[in-house]
This record gives sequence, structure tokens and C-alpha cells, in this order.
Amino acid sequence: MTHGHVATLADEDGAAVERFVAGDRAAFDELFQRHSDYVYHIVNGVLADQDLSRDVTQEVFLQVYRSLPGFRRGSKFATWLYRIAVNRAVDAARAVRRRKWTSFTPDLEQRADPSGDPAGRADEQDQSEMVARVMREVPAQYRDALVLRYYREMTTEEMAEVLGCTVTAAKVRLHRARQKFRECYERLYQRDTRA
Amino acid sequence: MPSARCREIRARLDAYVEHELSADAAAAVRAHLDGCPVCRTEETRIVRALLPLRAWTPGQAPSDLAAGLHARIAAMQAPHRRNVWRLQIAGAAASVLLVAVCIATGLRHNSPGMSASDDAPVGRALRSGTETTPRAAANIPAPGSSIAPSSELKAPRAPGATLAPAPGTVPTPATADARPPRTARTRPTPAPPSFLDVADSRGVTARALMSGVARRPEANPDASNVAQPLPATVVRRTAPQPPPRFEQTLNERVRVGDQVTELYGEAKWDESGRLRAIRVRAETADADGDGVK
Repeated sequence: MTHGHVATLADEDGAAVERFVAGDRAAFDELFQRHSDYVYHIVNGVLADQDLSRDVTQEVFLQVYRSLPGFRRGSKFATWLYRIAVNRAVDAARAVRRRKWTSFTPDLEQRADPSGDPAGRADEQDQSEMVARVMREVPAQYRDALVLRYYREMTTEEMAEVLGCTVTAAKVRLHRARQKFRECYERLYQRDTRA
Repeated sequence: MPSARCREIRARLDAYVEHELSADAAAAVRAHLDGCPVCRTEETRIVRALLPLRAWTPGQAPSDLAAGLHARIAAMQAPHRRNVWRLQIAGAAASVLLVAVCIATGLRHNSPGMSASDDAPVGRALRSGTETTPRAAANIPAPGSSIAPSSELKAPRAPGATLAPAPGTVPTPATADARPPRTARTRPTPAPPSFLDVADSRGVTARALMSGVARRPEANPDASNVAQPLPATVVRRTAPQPPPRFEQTLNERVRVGDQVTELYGEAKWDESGRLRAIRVRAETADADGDGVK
């Protein structure tokens, strides 16, 4: 199998796509069962919001349901699906950032943490929850690279395929995304990093 | 000020700590770090920031994902079914009409004095000039008019509300539907000084809501975390439902001139029912568009 888009109709996804296009609606359920967790994880990694991620994941599969008849044979279904998921998630993240909330009770929010100490909080909190909090601060356009690399543990080549860019561009994107993540992390947990 | 070499190394530090560099490139970075304590500190900070990312694990996907999707697919296909029914009904109606025309033609053949109706309702309406304009049909006020008190869009009613009508306009339902004099259209209606002063349907403003939360009893310091009784717009959750999440407590739409502002308010309680946070958001869009400003 060569790198990039190759004929993969022999694999399970390809066969299911063929059946769906031929009118077998059950084939879509098969594709959903196989990929829904993965898609949800990508979307939730970008959005860090379970309710919104559920909606966006369903929208991704709705789009797939509508677009599958026009799916280009020879493309890899999973790559196509993950690209839709990343794009949808980033769009949703941008929309969320446009709707900025003004909090009137930051003191109450802080009091929710019994220690009030970010360092202590870091120890107590689940690491994933901490990442989710930082991710919500990272600009939307940088989140996809972090999700694919760290959440889904993709190689740079796989990332490039999903993101639809060159490997070099994927590396640059990942580098900038890490920088942004670090900036946001240190801003949120500044006392922790000074220590 | 870091040297050029330091800047060059730092640009590759994240790839270095993630073992993404080639052996040669990694050795060069390692050699620099051995002799540069400032860059070593930078390396430590990067490692510390990226550590949580490495431990990032996917959460559990919701169990109702499939059920929700099936419902949405069914909803998406529903219009098609309705269209099929419409076509069937239209076909049946056309058949009936055809039969009726045939019968009528036969009757007219027997009644030569009868003329076809030339005064259809549509023609009458067009000739009389009473057709409804899109603006009037949508109950959108003309530029320059004040808040349109419609059933859908609630105008502020509190005495402290600061949505003053523009000079030359009277905020009545009549002016909301009719075009104001040209002189009144030269300047748009001024926006309220603050969304916080816009009252909802119960006459409660966001500012009042805020001040109610901000006041705390001084006699009992232990109760300082407990919020004061909130206005009716904020619904206190009675049964604790972990985990704490924001719940919508306010959703009001206010129209000012050609713009609609939607106010959202959310509150969050912890497991013990204690109020933890309140936040508000305002979205303003053109009445005939959906652009958020």
C-alpha cells in the first residue's frame, strides 16, 4: 500500500461503503460502530466539552451519511472521516470562542478548589482534565494537531494525511501548537511553573 | 537576550524532548544544553508543560451516541417522506380539479351567459395595493423605530430599563409596524448603554441579578459562600446532580431598531446545591440576518 490515497475497497471500510452506496443501510451502522469512538475522541479532544462533542460527533456522521454516495473511490475512508471530524470540531471550537461568556463569580469558581493552589490542584486533578482545561484556552486552529499527535498518537505522516497538508507543514503546525499549549498551560498554572 | 544559537536550539526543543529529531540533530541539541543552563531551564519548562499531554487519555464515549444519531437521521429523512405525501395529495387534488373542470366545461356549454371569473382574490389584492410587504409580514420595525413589542421579542418593562425610544418615535405597536416619518429615519435608534440594564420579561435586569449575588450576609461569615436568594429568572437546582455543570437560567431576546440581542445566562451549582458560578453572554445580530457581533 502506497502512502496517500490508494484503492482500499478491499478492506472492511471499503466494502461497507460499497454496500451502503448500493442501498444497504446496515453498512452505515457497521461503519459507525467501527469509528464512532475514535471520532468522538478526536472531537472531544478539540472541544473538551462532552455535550458539545456528542452533538458534533453526530453531525460528523450525519455529514458522512449524506456524503457517502459521493465518496471518492480509492480514498481511505478513515482518513476522510477523520478529516471531517477535525474540521467540524475546529469549526465548533471557533464558534464557541466567538460566544464568549463573562463570568461574574470568579471568586466562587476559585473557591470550588479546596486548596486554591494550582500546584496542589495539579496533583489532585486528573491529568486529562487538566489538559482539557488548557485545551479550551488554546486557539482552535492549533488544537487539531495536538489531538491527533497526543490524543490519537498519530505519526506526523498520518497527521499530514488527515490534515490534508505536507509532512513538513504538519511538523510546523505541531510545533506551533505545542508552543500555544505551553503558553496557555503556563498562564493557567503560572505559580506551578515558577516553583 | 538569547544568542542566535540559543534561539535556533529553542525552536527545536519541543521536537527534541519528544524524540522527533534525527540522531545527529538530537546530539547537537544535547551538546548545546550541556553547556547552556538557560536553555536547560527552557527544556525543563517544555517537558513540564508537555507532560500532561503525554498522559492524555481518551474519555469514555457517551452510550447514547448511536441512538441520537439514528434519531437525527430519521429526522433528516422525514421531510422526504412528507414530500412524497405532498406529491400524492397534489396528484389527487389535480385529478379532482381535472374532473371538476370537465364537469364545469360541460355545464358552461349548457349556460352560455355565464362568464369566467376575472376577479380572482390575488388580482383584487394587487389592484387595490394592499399586499403585505415582507417587512410588515415579518413584523420588523422600520429603521429608527424603537423596540418592537411583539409576542416573540420581549421589550424591557422595568422602570430602570434604559432603552429609550429614539426622538420622534413612539414605542407603540402601531409605530412598530408602520414606517416612521422620514425625519425620524435619519438616525438609528441608540443602543442601550449596557445589556446589563435590559430587563427580562419579569422586569429583572442582569445588573440586579449580579448585585443580588454579590451581596453577602455580614452577620454570618460562614455563609459567605452561599449566594443570596436569586431573582425568579435564576432557577435554583433543588436536587444535587453531580457533576456540576452550567445550566441555562436566562434566555431573553430584545430588539432594538434593526438589531436583535439575545441574552443568555447560566449558573452552576455543586453537589451540595451551593451556587458556584454565574456567567452571561450577549449575541447581537441583524434582524434579517444571523451574523453574531
